[in-house]
Amino acid sequence: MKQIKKKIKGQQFIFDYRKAIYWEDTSSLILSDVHVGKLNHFQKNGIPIPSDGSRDNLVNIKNLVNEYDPTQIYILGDLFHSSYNKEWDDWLIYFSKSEIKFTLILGNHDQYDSKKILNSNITLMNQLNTGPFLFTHIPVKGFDEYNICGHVHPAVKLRGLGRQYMKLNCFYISDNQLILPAFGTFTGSHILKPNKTDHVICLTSDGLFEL
Amino acid sequence: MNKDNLYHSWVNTFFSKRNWTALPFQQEAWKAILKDDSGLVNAPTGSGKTLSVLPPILWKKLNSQKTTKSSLFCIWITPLRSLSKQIQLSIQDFLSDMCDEFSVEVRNGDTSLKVRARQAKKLPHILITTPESFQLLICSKGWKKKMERVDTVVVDEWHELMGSKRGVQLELCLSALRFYNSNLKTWGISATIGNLDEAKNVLIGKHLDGSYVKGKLIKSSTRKQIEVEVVSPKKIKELPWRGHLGLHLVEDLIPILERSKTTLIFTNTRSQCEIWYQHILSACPEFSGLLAMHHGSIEKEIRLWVEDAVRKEKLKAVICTSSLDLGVDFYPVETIVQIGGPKGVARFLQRAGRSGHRPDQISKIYFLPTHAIELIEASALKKAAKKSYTEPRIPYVLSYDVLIQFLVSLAVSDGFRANEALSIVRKTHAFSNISDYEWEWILTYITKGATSLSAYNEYKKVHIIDDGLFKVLSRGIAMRHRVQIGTIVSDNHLNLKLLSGKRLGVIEEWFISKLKKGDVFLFGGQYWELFQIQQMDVLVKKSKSKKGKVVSWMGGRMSFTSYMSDLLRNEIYSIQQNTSYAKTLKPLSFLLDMQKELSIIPKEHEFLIESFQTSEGFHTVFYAFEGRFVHEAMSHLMAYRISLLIPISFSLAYNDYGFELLSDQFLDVNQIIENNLFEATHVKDDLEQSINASEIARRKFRDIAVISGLVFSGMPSNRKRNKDLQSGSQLIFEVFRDYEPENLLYKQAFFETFEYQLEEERLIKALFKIKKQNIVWKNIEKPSPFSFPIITDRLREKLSSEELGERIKKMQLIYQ
Repeated sequence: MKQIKKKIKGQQFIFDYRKAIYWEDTSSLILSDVHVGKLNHFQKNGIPIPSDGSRDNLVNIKNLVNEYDPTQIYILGDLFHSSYNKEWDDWLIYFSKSEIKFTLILGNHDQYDSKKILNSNITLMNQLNTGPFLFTHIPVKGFDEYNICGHVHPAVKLRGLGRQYMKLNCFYISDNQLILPAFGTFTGSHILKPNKTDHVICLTSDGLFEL
Repeated sequence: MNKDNLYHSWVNTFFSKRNWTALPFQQEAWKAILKDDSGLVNAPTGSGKTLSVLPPILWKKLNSQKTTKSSLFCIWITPLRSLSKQIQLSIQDFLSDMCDEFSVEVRNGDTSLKVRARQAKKLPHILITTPESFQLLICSKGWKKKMERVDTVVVDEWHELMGSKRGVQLELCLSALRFYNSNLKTWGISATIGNLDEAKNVLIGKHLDGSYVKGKLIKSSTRKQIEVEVVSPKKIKELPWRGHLGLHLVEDLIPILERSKTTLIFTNTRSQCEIWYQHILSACPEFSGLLAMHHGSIEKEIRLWVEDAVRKEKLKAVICTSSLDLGVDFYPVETIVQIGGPKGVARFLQRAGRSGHRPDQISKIYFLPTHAIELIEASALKKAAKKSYTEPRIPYVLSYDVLIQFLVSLAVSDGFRANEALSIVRKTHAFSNISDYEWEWILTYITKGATSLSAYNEYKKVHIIDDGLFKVLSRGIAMRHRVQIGTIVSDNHLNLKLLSGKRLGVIEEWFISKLKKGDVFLFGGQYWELFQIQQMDVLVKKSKSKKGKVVSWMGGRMSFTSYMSDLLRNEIYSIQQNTSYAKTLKPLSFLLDMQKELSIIPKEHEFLIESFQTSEGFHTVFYAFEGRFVHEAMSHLMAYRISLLIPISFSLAYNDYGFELLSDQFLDVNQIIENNLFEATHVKDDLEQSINASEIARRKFRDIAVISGLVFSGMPSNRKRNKDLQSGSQLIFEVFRDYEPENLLYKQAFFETFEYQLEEERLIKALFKIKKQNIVWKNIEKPSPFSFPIITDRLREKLSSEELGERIKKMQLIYQ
């Protein structure tokens, strides 16, 4: 499955296999943890890894925009991995040329001393209340609003007969919280063990699987 | 008097004072060293190997020009830090008597800052160091000047280094030293291995035309007599079918310890070491204070104390892992105990040789099998001890990761020029065949990145400055490189500390991640309560509890050598030939009878496959008796070939006896037989296919990524600041797979997988053997005794040809 439709707090969402969600009621695209510039940061520090991989990130975002035609995009933190490097440029150009309204919730990796971001057409926020939702980077508990967040790079482990195991990145949905998978390639993941009441939408090379 | 006689009368003053006589191999080595040869001395531990090379080196120096006497002239390399002290003592002993104007010091990871600072100003005459610290010296500015007067490098326990990447590291460093100091002589000291001549050649290196530099091989004729005694419980029912702890034998071990002055007890894993320590103490509390433990994760001060205490005869017994395997000569040791199969004959015999130090003494080793089937191993080992066969150590070649690390080291210190470096590199055994393409690729990789330069637009590591000098200019890169050199390749390690800050040792991250605050675990023979994890430190306090988890370590699973496998196979085949069981196998008769009843004990012309079902699924177990590594490969090969016939998912397990394919559906073995799946052709292609779908190459890549500097594990003092440079080797592996499959480091992971892990050659031989056998397929009701140790193994690989969606449908989430 490429997309899964789901209602949260009465609002309609589309979960997309490209690791983003689309909030139909407000025409918003929401994604998290892109880590732009990670590979170039490694290179600058003497670690030879090719950075072709990170180009896919921008391609994916453009494809999503073509398909959903959102009026705004929320990025829930860690858009950039470290301080400015050349990999940022393509993104900054994209932001400045786009008609879409971009909002970045600050993450622990984002370093906003950079004038480059401040001058681009992105709104920066520490967190955001919108409708029944609270957007943050790091997951928070104990609020009335439903928390949509990132930071964790969630994954789950599956077990089958014959001692089979599988680890899959996922959208992690619990009672009062949705944790988005990391949008960026080359980002790694962290295994969560769900409660019986939680459910997850797993990302695989064959699309989405809801469990 | 001629020169030789002068030397002999000099050296005899040392020997005669101690009532010693120089052994023939020592005299032969002296002669060769005095003649300015290089070479290799083959001598068993405890036979005076240090004295076979030290005196003539000193003598030559004593008789040389005065002006050259003030600087470092001899580097003594040991594979383990724990050996350094012992060697320092025995060198010092000679120096004090014979030429006290020379100094000897140790430099390794344990050397204090104060001593390091002093050595930075002035190095001693004789420096004892490890390959890593040696390379670090080459990373320091002005190293060529500091080492220009070095005339001899001695490599102790060369056999231990040669079959590893540390051996390659040392080959490169030695070649560099030789390049700038053409008079350098190299002497190795090695225990007996199957390929001594090759060992000598690899150590001394090659000419540019590819021929080996001449050197002398000196063999001692001393041969130890070894007696093996198998300790097994009176009743076989007490011996478990599986497991590797062997605790049922604690009671039988105590009298052995009591009879002997000092005993070394070898275990195969660190956790086994911990558990045995506890059990011996509780079985025999009067040993408290007389029993110690020694393994690689215990803090060095404690280890050094233990070693010292053994020498001073303060301890009754030490429980250890291979951390005490190497040449420390513990003269008081009378008895050796081996718990669980030693995996290789050479290792077993070497351990045995640690007792009974006088040449005429018989070395005695007690073998305690940890599970029933190991009794068969015991029987085989007894036979091996009578013959004298030893396995070869295969030297690594074309380890690009080590080469990259070495070149960056040169670039960090004084810089290098491409043509000079190439001749240094080509004069080693490991890289004498490096192609021009590969060499150019490596140089490009450290300076500009790999083939698609646009993908490396911000990369910098080594710069080429105007006159063609390759040099690291960034201080940060240089610093990170130096930190990386000593890094032990293994899981992430955390420091284990008391709340007061005292360091207790290191512990693997995956283990500690399973614990919560307040959980109790066993480490270093003591129970600890987890208090807090602070970045790279695990803070603990002593616990009064007498129960807790045992720290385990993932690394260090060893495989049977091919010789050991031969022995074992013959042992099993011979069971059936005799009407009654051999004496050593008597205790096993209950189990063997049961095996026969349920299934069969295979004979020489039979290849046994068993199928049965348990709550875990459908098991198919294959008995090839070829050793763990071959079984690993064979299981992948079989699983892959079967998966081409039908959509199926397997989890694979293997040990030294055979392998298992576990699936959620029944596997019809007739299909394997009819489709000729044991075919020995296309093995490499099929393996490559199956390994793409599996994990071995990824695991190999982990070491490669660390050694070549792709994965950075953090600064010791300031780990947090570099956090944004940390990444898993898995991710990097995927980036290369998807975007740069021609990367030599990526390719190396596969090369190593086939060459050193899967042992392709042995696999093909084994397949040919199977083709000549009759396949006997037994469909049985329940697991047979032979299958038990295999199917209970928890470390598993997987392979699948089913649709992902199908698999996910059949699986379940792992909940809290």
